[in-house]
Amino acid sequence: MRQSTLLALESFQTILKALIFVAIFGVAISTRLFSVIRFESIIHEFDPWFNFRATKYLVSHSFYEFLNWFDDRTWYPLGRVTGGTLYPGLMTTSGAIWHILRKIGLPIDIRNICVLLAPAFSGFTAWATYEFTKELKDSSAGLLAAAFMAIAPGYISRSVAGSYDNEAIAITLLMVTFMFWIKAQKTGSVLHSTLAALFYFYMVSAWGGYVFITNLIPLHVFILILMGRYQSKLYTAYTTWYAIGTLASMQIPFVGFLPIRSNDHMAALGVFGLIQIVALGDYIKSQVSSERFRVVMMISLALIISVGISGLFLLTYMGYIAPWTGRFYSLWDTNYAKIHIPIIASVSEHQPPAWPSFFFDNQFLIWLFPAGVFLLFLELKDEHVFVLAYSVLCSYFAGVMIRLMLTLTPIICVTGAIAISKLFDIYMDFSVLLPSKPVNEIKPIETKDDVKESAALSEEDDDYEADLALDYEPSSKARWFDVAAKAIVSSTFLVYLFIFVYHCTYVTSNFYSSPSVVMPSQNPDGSVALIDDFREAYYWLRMNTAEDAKVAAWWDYGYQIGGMADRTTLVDNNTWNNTHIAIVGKAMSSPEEKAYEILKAHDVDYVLVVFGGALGYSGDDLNKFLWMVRISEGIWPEEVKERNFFTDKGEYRVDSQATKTMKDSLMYKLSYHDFPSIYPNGVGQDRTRNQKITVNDVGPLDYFEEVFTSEIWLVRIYKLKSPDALGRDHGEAATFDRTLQSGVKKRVVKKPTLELRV
Amino acid sequence: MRFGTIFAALFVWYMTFVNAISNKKLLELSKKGGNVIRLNSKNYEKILNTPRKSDIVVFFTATSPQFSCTLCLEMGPSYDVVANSWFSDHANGISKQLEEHGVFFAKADFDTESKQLFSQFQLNSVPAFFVLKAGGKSISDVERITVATELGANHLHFLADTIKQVVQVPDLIVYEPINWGSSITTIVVVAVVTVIFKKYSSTVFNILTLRPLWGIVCSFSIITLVAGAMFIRIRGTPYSGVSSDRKSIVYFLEGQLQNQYAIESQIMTVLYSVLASSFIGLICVAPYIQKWYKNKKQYNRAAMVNFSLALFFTASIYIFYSALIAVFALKNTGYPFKLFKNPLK
Repeated sequence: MRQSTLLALESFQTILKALIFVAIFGVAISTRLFSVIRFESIIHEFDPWFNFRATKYLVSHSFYEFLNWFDDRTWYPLGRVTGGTLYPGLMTTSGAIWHILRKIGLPIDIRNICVLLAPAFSGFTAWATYEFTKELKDSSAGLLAAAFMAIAPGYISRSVAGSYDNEAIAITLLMVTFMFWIKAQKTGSVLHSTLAALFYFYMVSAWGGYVFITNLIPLHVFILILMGRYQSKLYTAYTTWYAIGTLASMQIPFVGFLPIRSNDHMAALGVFGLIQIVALGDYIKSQVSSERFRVVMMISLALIISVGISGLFLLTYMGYIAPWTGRFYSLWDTNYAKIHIPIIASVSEHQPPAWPSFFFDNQFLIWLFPAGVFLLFLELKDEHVFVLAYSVLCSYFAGVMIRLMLTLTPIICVTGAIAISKLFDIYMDFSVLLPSKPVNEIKPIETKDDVKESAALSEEDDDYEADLALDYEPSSKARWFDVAAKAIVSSTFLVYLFIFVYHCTYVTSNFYSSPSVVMPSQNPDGSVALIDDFREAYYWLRMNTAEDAKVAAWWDYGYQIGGMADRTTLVDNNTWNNTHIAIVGKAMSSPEEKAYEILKAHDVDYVLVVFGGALGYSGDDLNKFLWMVRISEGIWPEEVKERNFFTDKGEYRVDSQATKTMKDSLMYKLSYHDFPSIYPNGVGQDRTRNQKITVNDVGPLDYFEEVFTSEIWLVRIYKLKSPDALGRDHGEAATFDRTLQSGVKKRVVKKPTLELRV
Repeated sequence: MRFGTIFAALFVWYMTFVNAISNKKLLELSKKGGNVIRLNSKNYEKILNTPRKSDIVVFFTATSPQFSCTLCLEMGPSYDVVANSWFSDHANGISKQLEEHGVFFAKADFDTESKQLFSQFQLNSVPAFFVLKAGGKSISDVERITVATELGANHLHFLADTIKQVVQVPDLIVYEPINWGSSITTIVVVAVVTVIFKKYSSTVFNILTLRPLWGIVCSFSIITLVAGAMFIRIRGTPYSGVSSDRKSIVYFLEGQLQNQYAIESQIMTVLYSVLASSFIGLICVAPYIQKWYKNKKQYNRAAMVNFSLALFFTASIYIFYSALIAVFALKNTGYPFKLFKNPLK
C-alpha cells in the first residue's frame, strides 16, 4: 500500500515536471515572437545581417569552402579572410538544422531558421539552467530558475526572434558547459567533464565570450585549492576538461594557437600546472610527516609562483605570448579604451550601464541576487564557490560594459531562484494544517527524490527539518499564528512573482522587440506607422547600381549594406582595421574636395549617410560624427582636430553658429544638402538636434550628386561625380557655372506676371 | 581735427609707455596669488587692459557651491598644476628660449566682486579660458580657447595640450604632481595590517574564515555594483543636480534610463541593502528565533514571535520595494506598474 502511494506520487511529480517544462518552453519561445508578429520575419540590427549572409554562403557552398571563404566584397580594397576570422558555431548550427529539416522532408527557408533560432535555443537555456540549479539546491529551485531564465529581459534582449547573433546560442552553451562542469566537479566523472569540454568547444566556436569560461572554471578550481578543498575528483574533472577543451578549441581557425599564446588563456594553463603540483603534494603528504611537508610545500610554492610570474612577463616581453586584448584591458582600466582605442569606446554596448538598466533587465531578482549570494555563503559547498565567483566577477563586468549584462543574467536567475525557493521551503510548508501522521509519511518521499541532496545537507538544516517534524501538539492559537505568518509571506511573494512576469512581458514587448531595421512610429491619429527607409534605400542600391559598385558609409551600416543591398563596402561592423575606418572618418570630416580625392583613391562610387534631422531619429550619422572625427584624429592628429568641430563655447552645433570646419565637412553637406529648401522660408528644422538650418548655412555640393533620398529623408545616397568632361576640377567647374548662372539670372530677373487660369 | 588725431595718437602712445604692465609687476602679482593671479573687478583693468609683453592665460570659473559647477571644480586643480609647473621651471615667469616672452596665469572666480569682469567678457558659461597674447594692447585683444571638457576625464592632459598649443612657448612642460598622500596611506595601511597579522594571527585567521563576513562583503559589493557604482566611476557624474528653474536640488535624472547622478547609486544601495537583509531576515532570523523558543518548549511564544518577525520583514520588503518601483517609475516614464497608490492623490 505504502509503496504504491510512493510510486504514484513519484510519477505524478514526473508528469508535473514535464508539464512545467512544456509550459516554460512555450513561454520562452512565444515571448520572443513579439517582433515577428508586430513586424515580420526579418533579421534584426547590424551584426545579425552578417551572420545571415555568412549562413547563406554556408548553405550554398560546402563547409570547407566556407572555412576558406575570402570575402572581397567587404573592406574594399583589402578584403577580409572571413572564414578565418569568424566564429562559425552559429552558422554551422543553423546550416545543420537546415540540412536535417530538408532530409526529413521539411524544406524551410534559411531565413526563417535564422530568425527563429534564438527563441528555440532559449528553451534549451531554461533546461540547462534547471539542471545547473538542481545541482546547487534541488529541483524546485531548478524549476524556478528555469522559469526566470525563460522570461528574464536581460537575456531576451539578445534572443528575440530575428536577433540572429552569436549570443543567441552562446548563452545556452555557456549554461550547458557550466552545468556539466558542476556535475563533473561534484562527481569527478570523466564523462561529465568530457561533455563539459565538448560544449566548451562548441561555445568557443560560437562566441568570443568563451574567454569568460576559460577564466571562470580555473578561478573556481583555484579558490577551492586555496580553501584547502582539493580532492582527487577535482583533479580528474579539471585536467580532463582542460586537456580536451583546449585541444578542441584550437581546431577553430579564428582561435588557433591563442590558447597557448594569449594572456587571456594563461590563467587556465597556470591552474592546470598548479593542480598537478597540488596533486603531487597531496601524494607526498600522505607519505611523509606533516612537519616536513609544510616546509617542502612553502619553499616549492614560493619558487613556482615566482618562476611562473617572471616567466610570463619574460615571454610576453619577448613577444611569445600576446598581451591582453584591448577589450580585456578596458574591463580593468576603465579609461584605457577612451584614450587608446576610441573604436571600442565608441560602441554603445561597451558603455557602463546606469542603475536603471539593472532593474530594467532583472526587476526584483536584482535585490534577491545579493540575498541569494549571502544564503549560499552560509552553506558554501564546493559548487557554491563557483556561483559566488561567477556572481561577484560578473557583477563587476556588467557594471563596466552593458553588453555583459547578458552573462550576468543567468546567475541572477539562479541565485534569485535559490533565494525564493528557500523562502518557499519555509513559508509554503503548510503541513502544520495536516494531521500529524501524514507529515511523517510525506517526508520520506521528498527525500527519496533527492537522496543526494539530503545526504549532503548541512547540520543546521538537518536540525531544522527534524524540528519541523517534531510531533508535538501545538495549541490551536500557535498553529493559527504559524499559518498566518506563512500565508502572509508566501502570498506577498506570489504577488511579486506575478508582477515580475508582467514586467518581463512589458519590457520585452515595448523595448526589446524592435528590429531596428524597420522602426515603429505613430501617425498623428495614433495608428502605428512603420518607417522602412533603410530597406527602401538598400533595395534602391541593389536595383539601381552596378553590381560591383563600392559604397562608402560609416561602419555601422557595413553589414546591412552587404546583407541587404549586396554591394561592396569599405568598412563594416567587424572593425578589424582601425586605419581603414579612420580613412572613411577622415573623408567624412574633410572638406568636399579633399574627401572626393580620398574616396576616389579608394575607388568609391557611392556615399551613403543616415540623416535623422527630418524625422527626429537620434542614432544618425551627425550624432556619431564626433566619433568619426576622434577615430581619424587618432591616425592623423595633424589634419583632423576635434576642437575645430566645436564652437567657441565648446558646443556641438550644426546651425548658423557651427564652425567653418563643421560646415565645410562632407558629412555636414551630405546630411543637409537641400534640406532647408524643403521648408517654407528656407529654414529647416533639425528635429534631432533641435536647431534651425538656413539655406545660407549649407554650402553648395560640387563634387557629389544626390541620387537617392528615402521617403522620410533617413537615408541619403550620393554618387561621386565622374571626371569633368573638360578636365577641370569639379569645384572650379561649379564655381564657373554659378557665376554664369548668376549673370543669367540678372538678365531674366523680370518675369511676366501670369494670371491664374481658371 | 587733424591736430586732435595726432594728439590722441600721441597720448595713447604715451599712455602705453607709462601704463604698460611690466613682466615684473605680473610676476609680483603671480607670487602673491601662489603662481596664479587672482582677478576681480577692481584689478582687472590694470592687469588686462594694458599693453603687455607676455601671454596671459585667464581661467574663468565658479567654485562656489551654489552654482554646482562640477567641471569648474575638476578643472581648477589641473589649471594650478599647469601654472605651478611653469613657475617651477621659470622662477621669473619668462621663457628661457624666447627673449622677454613670459607666460602668466590668471584666474577669476565668479562672485559679487568679479561680476563686472565677467560681464566684460560676456560670459554665460564657465569654465572658460582666454588667452591675451603677448604684444596685445588692450582687453579686447583676446582669444577664447576651447578645452575639450568632459566630466571625469583627465583634464590636466587636455588643458596642458591646449595651452601649449595656443601659447606656443616651447619650454612649457607640465609636471604631474605625485600623489604622495595615497602612497603614504598605502604604506601605513600595509604596515599596520602586517603588524596586526603578525601579532594576532590566530584571531585574524578566525575572522578571515568567517563565512557570514565574507557573505556580507560579497553581497554588499554586488549591491554597490548593480546600483551603478562603476557608471559613476567611469563617467564621473555629478553628485546631484539643480532643477531647471535653479530653485531646488534634484536627486534623480528623471526619465533617463541610461544616465544618473551619483546620489542615485547611494539611494539604490540603501534600498537594495534593506530589501536583501529583510529577505535574509525572513529566511534566517525568524525561523532561528522560533527554533530557539521551541527548544525552550514555549510553543505559543515561538509562534507569536515568528509571526511578528515575519510580519515586520514582509512589511519592510513591501515598503522598500514599492519605494524602489516608484523611483524606477521616475527614471522610466510610463512604467505601468506600482505597488502603492497614494490614496490622497
